[in-house]
Amino acid sequence: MRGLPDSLAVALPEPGGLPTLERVVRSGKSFVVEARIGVGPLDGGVPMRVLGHAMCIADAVRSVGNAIGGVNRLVLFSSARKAFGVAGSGCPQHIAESAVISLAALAGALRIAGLRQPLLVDDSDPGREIPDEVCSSVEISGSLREFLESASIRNANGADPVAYAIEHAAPTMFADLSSPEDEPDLLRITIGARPEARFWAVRTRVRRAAANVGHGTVAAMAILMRTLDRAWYAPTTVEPRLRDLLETSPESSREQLDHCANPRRGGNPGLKREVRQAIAILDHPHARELALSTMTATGAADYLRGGDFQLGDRLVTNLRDLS
Amino acid sequence: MVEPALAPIETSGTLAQKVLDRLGFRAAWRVDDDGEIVNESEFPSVAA
Repeated sequence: MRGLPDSLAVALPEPGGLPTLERVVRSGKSFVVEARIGVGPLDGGVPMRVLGHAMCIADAVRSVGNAIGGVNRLVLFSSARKAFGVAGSGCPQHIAESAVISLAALAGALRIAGLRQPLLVDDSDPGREIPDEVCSSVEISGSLREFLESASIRNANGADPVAYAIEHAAPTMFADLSSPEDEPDLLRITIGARPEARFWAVRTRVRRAAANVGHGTVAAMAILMRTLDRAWYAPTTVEPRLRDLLETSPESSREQLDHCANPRRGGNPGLKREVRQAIAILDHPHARELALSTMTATGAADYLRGGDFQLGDRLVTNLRDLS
Repeated sequence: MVEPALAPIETSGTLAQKVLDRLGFRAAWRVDDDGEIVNESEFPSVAA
């Protein structure tokens, strides 16, 4: 049997969720495959690495497709509004704008990377979506809690790290809890970088707690790109930005990318795979258009409205408020 | 809708392994209960 590439890791749901997963898998020819991709709050400008990250996602989607016959649709969401909502504060204007920019950047990069599935792009709901009765019985301790608390120190959103992690299972995030709108034989696959593994572990606890109080959960699993150590939306200070494509030569951009992943030049070796993939498509005819469109929030909004994307209701409203 | 080209489901092994086999999702790396990525050879078995 052909397996997945060594660059990918598989995450299964909690043991209690396996029968649901098996039922969907057993349904044979009729199950629907949805791949979900999250984008966290953008910290700094869009890095050029987003192009390589999209290529890595495209590879993962193709690997999944090769195994089971295809991925039917992609869902891309921003968690920025959720983070500030959990913190109990309104989403600052500059955060709302950078969320639109980051969504446009990755959505456009996924098209440049060759993914042609229907692509739904949306914002997360800032409100608490996981019921209190579920939240109250989610237990997170040990290394998992330490990771979440450590990660939150780097964030400026002020959200309680555990509460924010629990909300990753929410309908407008990775959607682990069943909804009446879900198809009966839906397989929801998370695709993400290595840090997403920790949030997957939290989500399995939320799913378990939800099942214990009678909430249904969807058939879900995750395919994680284990060699991608750092979220693309949290670029290092030495990474070239996407907008640099407009001001520097392709040779210079390649050199900058190469350096930012080279530890002998102060770079982060955890960026190597994305950098290699980004270098491969720097010359794509739409890369410069994407760079230009994501320089401002209004440009990004126009790009999303005019592109081959389906925009969710929350995003449509938020784009209207931006202009 | 897709028409998955699935291998026949295995009749032995844990439920997790059966699902992975059915999907063709066997990988060298798995995410454990704490969100650590570990090699399959070191992964604790999941009860059926």
